[in-house]
Amino acid sequence: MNLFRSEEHVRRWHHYVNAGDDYLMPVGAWGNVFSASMFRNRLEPDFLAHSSEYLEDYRSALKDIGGAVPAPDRILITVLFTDIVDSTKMAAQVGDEAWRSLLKRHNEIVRTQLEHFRGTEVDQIGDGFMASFDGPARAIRCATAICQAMPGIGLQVRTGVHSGECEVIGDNLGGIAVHIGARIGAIARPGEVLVSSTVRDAVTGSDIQFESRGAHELKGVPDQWRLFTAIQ
Amino acid sequence: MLAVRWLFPGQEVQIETRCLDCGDSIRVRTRDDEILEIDPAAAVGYMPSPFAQSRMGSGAFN
Repeated sequence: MNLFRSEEHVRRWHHYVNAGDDYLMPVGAWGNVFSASMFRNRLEPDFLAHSSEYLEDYRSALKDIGGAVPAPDRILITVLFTDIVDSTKMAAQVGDEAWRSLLKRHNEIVRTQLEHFRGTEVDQIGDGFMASFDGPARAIRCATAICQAMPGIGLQVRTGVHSGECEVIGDNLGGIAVHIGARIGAIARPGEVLVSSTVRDAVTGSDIQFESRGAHELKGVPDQWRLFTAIQ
Repeated sequence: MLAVRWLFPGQEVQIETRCLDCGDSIRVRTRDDEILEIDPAAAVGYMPSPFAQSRMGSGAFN
């Protein structure tokens, strides 16, 4: 069991993935499930003979105190991650005041393009953005427009796009699809719009072209992922 | 964690650990089946399902 100071801490934990049948309860409630008397019962010589009964007791205890976390609200969505290339180096080069001004212009460009392509700003992570779209093609076009606009203010960004089921957590999004999107964005090259094969397949028939970037391992995510550079 | 209580019948057991998210302390005082104090009171335990563990495959839930 993993312990947190509150439910809010669980939901923002970077490894939190609510699979729908996870258990999240106050520590006091767990105290009833893993009671001292239950464990002492297991010392009885005939414990193994009664193990199925003990298992039933355990299940019953879980049920009595509310059971599993309710199934999360999940939606199929496309996530876009952007990040400024060499931001720390740039900030050191131009100084704090000029960097703040550059960041302001960067943010304006990203938000203008998000509005134009009907994206939703979900979060700002460091110098980058996480945004969601209800269509992968618009996410790619938005990412491309952002990448193309940044050299005009002396910056470069890397962007990653992935489509998948995400968990809605208030105004935020969570789940493995978000992790995948973030990982793809992190390995994109400067000025590149890097997408998963899911995104590429979903926009088949559009005028967006792709170049293969081969199979990659994404840290913390199972399997190999075929990635593609979007070209417009 | 709470399971250690059975080893100390009739004695007060204090468990100190840290929040996996922020690293701040969590303290639980207990005696047998009775929870005497939880600090902070809002502390929760989260147990991912085996399915979640296999999906991540990263050892994050160990």
